[in-house]
Amino acid sequence: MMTDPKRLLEENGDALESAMLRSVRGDGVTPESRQRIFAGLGIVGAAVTTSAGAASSIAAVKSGLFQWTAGAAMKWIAISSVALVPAGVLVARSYRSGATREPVPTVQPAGVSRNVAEPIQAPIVDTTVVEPAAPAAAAREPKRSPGVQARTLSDEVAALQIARTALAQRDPNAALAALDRYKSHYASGRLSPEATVLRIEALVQKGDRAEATQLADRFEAQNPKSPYAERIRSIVRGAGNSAR
Amino acid sequence: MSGAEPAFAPMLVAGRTDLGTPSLAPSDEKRFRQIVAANLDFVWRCLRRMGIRSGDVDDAAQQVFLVVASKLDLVQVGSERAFLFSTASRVAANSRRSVHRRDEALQQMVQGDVSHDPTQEELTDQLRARALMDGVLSEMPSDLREVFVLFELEELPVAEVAEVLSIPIGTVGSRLRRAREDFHDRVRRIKAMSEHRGAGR
Repeated sequence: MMTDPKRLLEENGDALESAMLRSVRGDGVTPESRQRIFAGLGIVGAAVTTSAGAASSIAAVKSGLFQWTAGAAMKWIAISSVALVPAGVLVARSYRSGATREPVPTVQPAGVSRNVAEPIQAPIVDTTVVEPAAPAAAAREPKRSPGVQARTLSDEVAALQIARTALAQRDPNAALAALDRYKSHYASGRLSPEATVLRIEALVQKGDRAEATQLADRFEAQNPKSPYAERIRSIVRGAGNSAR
Repeated sequence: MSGAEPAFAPMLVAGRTDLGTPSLAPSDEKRFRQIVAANLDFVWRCLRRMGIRSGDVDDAAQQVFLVVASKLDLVQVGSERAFLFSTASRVAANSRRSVHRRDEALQQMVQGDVSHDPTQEELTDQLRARALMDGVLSEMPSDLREVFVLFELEELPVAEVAEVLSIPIGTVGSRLRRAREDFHDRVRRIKAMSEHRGAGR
């Protein structure tokens, strides 16, 4: 049987070469990226964790320390997705009491690198699937008040994801239509500020800079300390630069 | 590849065409979930190492899996990784063509128009090393880069590299040899330029 050659890193070669080869070892999908990609693929509710965080997360859950409420988690993730990750949206965790779970196999991706810190895909206990557009799920689990809140927020996230996807596809009209639907469904939605940011982006993309600026000014006046203020200014400023 | 379905079993939302994912029959949906779960890390790393910038890798990975979803019936069981890698290569190539950008640090070094010339010590800095690696990989011919990424960085055995690329083992060996020569040459040039600038100070 043929023996594989040694890898360059094993050959004690040049210091710069070794540094360059070692520099890629940290590559890996973050939990946030994983969520984004799953959400973008229409896959929802995937539990994710990292190799560093997996053990502690599971240990925390088992010892009853897992106190992160679904609402807080989802809000945080949703905000992160709008403020920090322009092309994606994240679907969050919700606690579903009494949910039955299958035995937990560790997923070992086939043929993955042996030199990279692998995210361990061990599921997080008490993390479960949220299906934004599945009324049947509600019927299956009528007694789930924490989940109801989670579902609503999850629905909001999903609704905004449609707008975000349209923006990524350079279809501002579809994005605006999705945002109109969001507004009609969630007049006092918890992600209203995020929706406004997306609307401003959509208006800019559509070329309607005047309305974008007007909306941005109004938002800033009403929310002077909003973490989105700078982002909104940046969007409008970018539109101004590209118009010149 | 691993066919084990994860316990967290992500669920496709039926009919969510608004998200760009084709509707799949239940059996295909299950297979698609398995493919994504088993290969997301591999695809993500390969894309990153084939020149996609970190901020763009998520979208590129998503694009790869959307292609898989749309052509699932063409993906032979057991050959999923080969299909994924070849799709990822194309996505990365398209991205490079459309974006056509190189790492700023390397570009500055090559063009010599930097106000601050890097020293040899600075070159060993982790970030700079990564920037240099990205630059070298982006300039390597694609057939060599694929073998280099899979063997040297993903650390796949030669036989598996051959399987993923659907090429003979002998071809993997010859490409690997040329890829290493290419890598050594480029690193030598980088060092020569750096030393030249260091001496000129």
